[in-house]
Amino acid sequence: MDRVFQRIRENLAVAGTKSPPPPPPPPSPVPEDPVATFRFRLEQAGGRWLEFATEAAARAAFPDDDGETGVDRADLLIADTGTVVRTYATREESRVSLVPPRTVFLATAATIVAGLPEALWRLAELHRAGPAYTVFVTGPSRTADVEKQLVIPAHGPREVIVALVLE
Amino acid sequence: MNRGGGLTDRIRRAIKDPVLPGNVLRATNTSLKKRDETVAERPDWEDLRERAAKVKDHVLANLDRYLAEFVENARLRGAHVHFAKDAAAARRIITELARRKGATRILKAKSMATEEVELNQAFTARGFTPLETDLGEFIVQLRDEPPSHITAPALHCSAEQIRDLFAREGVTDGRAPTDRRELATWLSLSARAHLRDRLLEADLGITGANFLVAETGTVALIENEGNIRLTVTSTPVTVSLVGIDKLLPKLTDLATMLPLLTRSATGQRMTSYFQLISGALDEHHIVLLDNGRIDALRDPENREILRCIRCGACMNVCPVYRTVGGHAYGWTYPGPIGSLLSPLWRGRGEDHQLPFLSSLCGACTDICPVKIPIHEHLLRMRREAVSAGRRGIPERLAFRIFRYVMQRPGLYRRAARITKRLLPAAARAGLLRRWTDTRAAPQPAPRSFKEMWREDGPRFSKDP
Ligand code: SF4
Repeated sequence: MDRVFQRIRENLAVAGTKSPPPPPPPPSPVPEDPVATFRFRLEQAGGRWLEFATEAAARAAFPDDDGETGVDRADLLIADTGTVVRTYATREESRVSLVPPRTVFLATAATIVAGLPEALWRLAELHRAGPAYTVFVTGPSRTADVEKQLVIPAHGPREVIVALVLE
Repeated sequence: MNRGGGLTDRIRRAIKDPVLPGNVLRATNTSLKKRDETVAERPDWEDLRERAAKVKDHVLANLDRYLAEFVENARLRGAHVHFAKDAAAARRIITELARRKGATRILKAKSMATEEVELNQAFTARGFTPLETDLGEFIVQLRDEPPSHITAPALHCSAEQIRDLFAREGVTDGRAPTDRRELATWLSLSARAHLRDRLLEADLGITGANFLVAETGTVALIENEGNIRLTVTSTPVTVSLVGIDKLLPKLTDLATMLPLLTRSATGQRMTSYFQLISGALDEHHIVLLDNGRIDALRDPENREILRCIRCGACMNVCPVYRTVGGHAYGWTYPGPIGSLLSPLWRGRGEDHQLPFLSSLCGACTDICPVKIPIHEHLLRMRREAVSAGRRGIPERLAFRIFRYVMQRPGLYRRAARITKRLLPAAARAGLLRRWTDTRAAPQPAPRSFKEMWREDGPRFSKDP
């Protein structure tokens, strides 16, 4: 490996280098109503939005023992793209939002961030601290490999529901 | 295979193909339209491009530092990091790992790096072939050909061709819907059902990566189908083969790169899935690929080309690519960027002719999300090919003669008169066929500029 770094250094030295590090990305514009923006973008990406008074009510609506539904929770919601962010402890655990035909993410309004920069700022801390596995989910799985025509689903779920728990 | 034969043969074959040019044109038009719609939503698009170019320039200029940081952080988080100097080394590391693990059921996510090192061929030689899990890759694998586009591998195929292919290969029972509008859905869902069991459990998963993050040792993967998530989670061992040009310093740099990449590639604000894997898998091997990249750092001009984030937009917009498709170019990376990367990274004799496959219109430069002045590099590489004597004696001779004649006005006038008279006759006799087979024959103007000036005088200058 040392040989590799040596070769890179030699090649870089030929043409004086050192370009300054770019500044961090600017924050996203904050939407007036983050919940409404998230919902709009989620639906645009083919996802569904539901609201429940309590978590118990949401869980009762989606029993997860039928093999049809994977019930998961959202760590963060990104308003700008309608994206659910979820950090899993293991790769097996992440299958809950991948293998069953339908995924339900339980979420609260407090987890909404404006855009991707805000989500990554929070995740950076986690990933800097040690091993971590994070998945961003935006709507159901899809493909456009046949003549660029959109088909849902591909190999993942056909339905993604974000269930907002109000209390 | 569609990549056989010399460059000219492949181009001729592509243009003469009864369906390929139409397929490519329709698909690239759809991609461009979607791209334009989502790009228009970002008023800060130019700012993003500028920022992305700076991020990449900075990483490339300090690649030793960031690579060391990445290796350290990935290892700290439990990943195994390997280094492959060239394609043969990459093949050896990965097939050796598969052998050690006794892996026979191998899943492969879409990856241009594995195409570049011809990994599947190495596995096939050992008796088992990795299953391509991306629908487009699965289609070209069944067709026994390489992808023809870096983000849409089967873009050159029509739904009817895929229908017949699937029936022949037993993916479907052949009872396709008669309504053409239902065909894409039916084919895609049939492939899902056909592959389902094999995707849920296997021995080894092979992926590429869209980005590596130095500060966190992260492998970042973008996709829509969920096949990459399955490849990563259905197997106890994962290998990611990644070019060292894919490094980023910080996780937050993804906020700059991602919106550019997804919009340019598929016209999406965000793809269905985006995974950040920081050493958290049971067993993750990361193979860092050089294969010409380190040598390309030497020249600051070439270094600029390494900014590329493989979005494929320059292909979609290129009048040459849109006419001949990807296979004609002869290597993993087609289109304008391929015409730069092939001579730079592979450098076979024929690769040096690729920069001449361009109208130099500059559409690639305008669309490139990381602001690579692609057409200027194409021109530079042409110059390099000419000074290295790579263009053959007839072309050199022709330009010698052209220069001689141009410098002598009397001779030029006479030569022009003769050419004008001979051209139609030559075309009729079929002497220009190599040119006119695939292009319209040039028509000489009825009167030369000199004649117009002499005969019409000042009146000519007032013509609209
Ligand atoms: S050169 Fe630019 S436009 Fe072409 S694939 Fe690379 S990033 Fe995209």
